[in-house]
Amino acid sequence: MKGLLLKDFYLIKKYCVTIVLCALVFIGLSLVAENNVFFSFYACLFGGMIPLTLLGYDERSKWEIYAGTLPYTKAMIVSVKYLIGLIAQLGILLVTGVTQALRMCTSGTFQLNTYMTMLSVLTVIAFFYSSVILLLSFRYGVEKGRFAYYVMIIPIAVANALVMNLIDIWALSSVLLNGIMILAAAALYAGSWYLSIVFYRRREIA
Amino acid sequence: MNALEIKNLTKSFSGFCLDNLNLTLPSGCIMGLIGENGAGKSTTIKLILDLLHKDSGTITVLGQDNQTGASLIKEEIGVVMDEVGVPDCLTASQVGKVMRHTYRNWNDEIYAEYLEKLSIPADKAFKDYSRGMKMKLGIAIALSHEAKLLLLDEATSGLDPVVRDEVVSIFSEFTRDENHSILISSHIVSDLEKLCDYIVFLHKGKLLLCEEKDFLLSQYGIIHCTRQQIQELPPEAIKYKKENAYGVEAMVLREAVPAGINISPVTIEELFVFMVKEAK
Repeated sequence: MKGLLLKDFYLIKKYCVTIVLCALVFIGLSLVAENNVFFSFYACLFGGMIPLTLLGYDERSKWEIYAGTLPYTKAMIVSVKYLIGLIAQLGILLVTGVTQALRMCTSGTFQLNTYMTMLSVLTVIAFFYSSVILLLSFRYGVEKGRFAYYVMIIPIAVANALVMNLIDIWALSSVLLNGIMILAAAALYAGSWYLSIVFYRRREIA
Repeated sequence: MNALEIKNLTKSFSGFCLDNLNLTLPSGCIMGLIGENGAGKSTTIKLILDLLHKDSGTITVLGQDNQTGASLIKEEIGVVMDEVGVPDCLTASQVGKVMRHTYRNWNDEIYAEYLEKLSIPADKAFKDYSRGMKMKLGIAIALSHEAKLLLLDEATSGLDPVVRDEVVSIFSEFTRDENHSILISSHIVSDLEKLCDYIVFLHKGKLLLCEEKDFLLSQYGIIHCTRQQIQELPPEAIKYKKENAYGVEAMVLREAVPAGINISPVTIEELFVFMVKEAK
């Protein structure tokens, strides 16, 4: 699988630098804007774009067929994209977590409960989003995955606004709820990963 | 051991059916798949690689079922498809690094030798290569990991005649080792005639013929004669005939033609065209 990761690393270096920069810009905006979760949420969307972009380039260059002739299992071919998605989202969450903690500490507004809830919400958004678009891409092809990417932005943005404006999530938050949210996000991503392998094994590559 | 055994292989799509295909490629031999567009050549190769799922039949590659332990089998297969499949932004030297971590038996030195021999620039992006250069890179990769079987789908198309000749020599050299075999499909029948020990004709998903090339060339011939002369020949001698204003051109079975009639040698291309027309 090292070969697949190395190939994707070359592609990320060539095609995904802009995506990473955009994610960093949104993380930066989340430090100065009033609605910091809103901007962090967009940073997570960019994280989800990385494996989707790689899949798009794979399809365009017919790598998908070529990879099928190399000594890799279909599970490995799928897993590389999920691994990259995981690294990208965890990286964004880590940078967001550190920068938000610094912001809160310097402004004297740091509250552990609020901080953990914010990270839990972002984790759910990031992994829910990646789980759905990767699953659709492996099940129906990259075009439909990309379509889902754009379609999903709207309801997720609306849900984000609703959660932030209508429900006082900070008041509802608890260690238990945060734990459940993070576990649910992990389970969703793992389930999507597993199902993608199942679908991809059944899929014919021509 | 046979490098490849295909028994009763069937695969249906809407509007196409690869019908009950049977092939055996002995080790150390080169088999050429000849057929028009849509005859089933690429489908056969994709079924061997398990990129497509067969409806029925068995495929044995280097003594193993092609589905059980597929990734191990692929260690011993070199593949060049009609679209090579290397990502556009990668250079040949980056491809080498990727393959080093892909194949257990990857050999950097052999790869570098092929890059030099085939004049492939190591640091130019794949997207900037000509079609011929892309095919050559695919061939260099396929030959650099101690493969025992090469599966080549239109691997010589897009190459100029000089490079094609060079590549055909490389393939001939490859099969000097009796454990090495090649299954190659091509529209350029002259390449296959030069290279192959066995010839397979596919037409609309059906196997028209699978035979040793030398046997085929010794069995069949072409005669040019008048309509009257052709009627005097035993019917079993005539495989196909084509009439025109100047007379008749017929493909015949040499052994069934009475002595004294001048028979010209047949080329594989002529044989294929005659057989496809007969099948129609």
